[in-house]
Amino acid sequence: MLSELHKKDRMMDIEHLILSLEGALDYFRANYHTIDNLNVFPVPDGDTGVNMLLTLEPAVEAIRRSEKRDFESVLSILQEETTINSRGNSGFILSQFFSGFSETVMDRGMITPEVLTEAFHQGHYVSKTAISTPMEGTMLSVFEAIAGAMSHARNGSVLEHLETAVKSGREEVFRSPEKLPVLKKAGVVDSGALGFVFLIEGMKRRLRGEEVGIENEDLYRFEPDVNTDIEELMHVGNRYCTELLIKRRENTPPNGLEEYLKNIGDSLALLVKDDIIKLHVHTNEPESVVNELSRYGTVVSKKIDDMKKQIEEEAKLFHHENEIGMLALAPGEGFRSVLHEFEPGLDVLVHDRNLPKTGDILHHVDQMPYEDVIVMANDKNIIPAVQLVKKKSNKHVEIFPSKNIVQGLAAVMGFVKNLSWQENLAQMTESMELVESISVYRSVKDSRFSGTAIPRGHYFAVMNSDVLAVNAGFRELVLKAVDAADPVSRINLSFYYNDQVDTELLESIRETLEGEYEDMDIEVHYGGQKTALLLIGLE
Amino acid sequence: MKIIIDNTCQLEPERIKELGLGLIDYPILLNGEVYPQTWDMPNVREEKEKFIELMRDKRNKATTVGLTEEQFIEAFEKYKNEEILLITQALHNTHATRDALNNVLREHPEYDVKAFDSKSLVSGVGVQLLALLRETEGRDVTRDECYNILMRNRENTRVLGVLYDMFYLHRGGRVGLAKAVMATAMGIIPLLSSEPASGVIKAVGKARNFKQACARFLAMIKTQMEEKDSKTLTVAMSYVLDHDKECRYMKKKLEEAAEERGWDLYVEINYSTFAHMPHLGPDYFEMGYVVGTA
Repeated sequence: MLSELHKKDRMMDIEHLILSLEGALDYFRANYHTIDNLNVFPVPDGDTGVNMLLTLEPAVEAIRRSEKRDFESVLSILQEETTINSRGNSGFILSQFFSGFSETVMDRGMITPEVLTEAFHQGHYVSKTAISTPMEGTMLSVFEAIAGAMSHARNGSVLEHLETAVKSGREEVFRSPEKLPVLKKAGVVDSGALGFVFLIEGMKRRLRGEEVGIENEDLYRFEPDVNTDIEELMHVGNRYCTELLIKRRENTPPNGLEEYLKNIGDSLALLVKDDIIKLHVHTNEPESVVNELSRYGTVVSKKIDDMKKQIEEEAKLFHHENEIGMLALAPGEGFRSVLHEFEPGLDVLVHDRNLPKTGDILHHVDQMPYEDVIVMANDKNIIPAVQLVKKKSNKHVEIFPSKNIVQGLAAVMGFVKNLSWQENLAQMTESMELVESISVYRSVKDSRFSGTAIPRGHYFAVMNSDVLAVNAGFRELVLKAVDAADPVSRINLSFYYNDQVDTELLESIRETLEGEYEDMDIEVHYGGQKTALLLIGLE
Repeated sequence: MKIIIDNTCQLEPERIKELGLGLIDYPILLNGEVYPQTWDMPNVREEKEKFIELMRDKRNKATTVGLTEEQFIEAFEKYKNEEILLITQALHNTHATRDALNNVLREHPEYDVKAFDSKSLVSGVGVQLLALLRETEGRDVTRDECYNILMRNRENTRVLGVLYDMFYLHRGGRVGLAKAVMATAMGIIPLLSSEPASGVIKAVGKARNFKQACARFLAMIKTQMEEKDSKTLTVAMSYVLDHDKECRYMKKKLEEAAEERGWDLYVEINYSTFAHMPHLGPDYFEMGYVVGTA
């Protein structure tokens, strides 16, 4: 594996450039949702992150595939692929930055701190001149700020220049709301500008040998302007985001094209090269634009998005995303990972033999970053405590009355955090109804359960308050219990065992059942519950 | 009367011929070039699988484009002396197609066309046609009657499906939907649904395997049948590659439910058409169903 760039290296070779581009892409992949969520300018359609990702991704993939390892070849791929694949305003600006950046590096044939500085200046120049109405407070300002900061740090190493770039870029990002009033109104920084900083952050981290990090979206949000008119913020003047790639028929200059496009739309970005025309424009007349551009050659690709609709959908999702949380109460530590396997990020409160107190649940709910919280009890004896939480909490708390963790695990499969709590409760109920559970215990004394005598030391299995089977042997008991629970109609069987169960024995039970019921999938998980030795979920 | 439908309907060529339908193909672009495909091309199954293999290489980018006025005119011209009933997929997502169709209807009164927007996607389109044919079988019906039946069924149509690989939907720019499911853990299958009222595709949960997915789908269908107090169910499923096993399993479960609950059930399974592959990718199965009538 290629080693990291040394702190004092004044020269970056081609392998390190590729490494840094891969780092940029990986970092962006991990964080592009944050960029999408912050997107309000020029149109709050929530796609800046994905547009930037899809602009850069094919380029880095193509570089990876290419066997050529020289600046000329690699940067030509970067230029070409980002130009061809650029999406949206942000993608277009990013592609033009890379175009200018690459020109400089190809010309110099090396990357030193000085060349890096010059390349950032050129990237800024090319991108700014490709846009019909360049705006302050966007990615363009970040290019400029970084190039300026690098110019003042001439004597550093390549890595130090990148560190300067990240620092100055982040500072400029936080100035963006002052430059673009719409950002101030919405209480966010500019998403495209931040997206570019994420790319540089990714480059820097990879060259330092550091891991990809997950950015905290809250850092880039602040209190919105109280006088903000949401309707105004969501207003779209020119509704259709129209992007075209034209393969030019002949090299005649498209006289008057820019003027025509300025009259018919806004957010105009037009690139005319010898063989292609690349266009991004927001307009209410996309078909007219397509017809006009068709005069100059063949339409290679066309993308027309209805931004009004995108905004409505984004607003709906965003609203739910920030409202719905779910807290699952679990009777053993093992269930935490099982629950997270089904729903990453789910809040889980594990309790032992002693049931959780109202105060513990309330405290946990209050700490959750959601205003609407569904609490999944997973034990009928906990439901009263959750009802008290519902009364006492300042948040909107809904109780999901799962009577045991097996029901809870099934219900999680119906949970979609972006949906409303009503939809979630309905879907979770539907999921929960597909499962039944068996609990396996060992009797510590001679006793009776639901009218059935259970000798001391015997195992017994309970389903819906009925004793399904009693046996002195664990294996025999489990097989008997499963056999009594209509196994032929089941598609899944899940075992959740605790510390007292012999896992080798359980594995042999699983093998026996798999041989007997070929259509049934069998899973084994550690639950760590304190009461039942084994919980069996049957779907 | 001639029924014309577009190739999003998820019916296979033999079925289209058997039903005597006219068909319009949505074009596909692969890496910016028009990909040669038609619904009735020779060796169509092999050609589809060849295309799926190309899709599997994620460096290849496939997209769809809207229908043009010329395509509509060409289709209508073939049946210009007949009454035409045109059934389309949901047009609110494809404004270019909608505009092209409206222009043709406005500017070419010589074609006697009544257009029905199914407001549905994938098998939700084809199943509305199948439900119509079930209901009108053996009867002489006018175009207006057919149209009214379609309108009634449209509100009772739903689409359910499983995409094993969300990459393609995500790359296609359907960000809202992708967001709804991206948080889903690896190895967990997102269950998707769309309803005609909104046409919006949404995640309705997840499953660990296809049997669980089918169990959830069956539960949803049962709930809807009960809500509508219906005993009649028409289902069209589609798949790619070997995902017919999911469809056959689902069909079996539907038949068991039908027997238990006394449903009048019709199920049809087709290999997916080209039209959806660019967005849905190389691994999926889905179904559209209409509750009621017949």
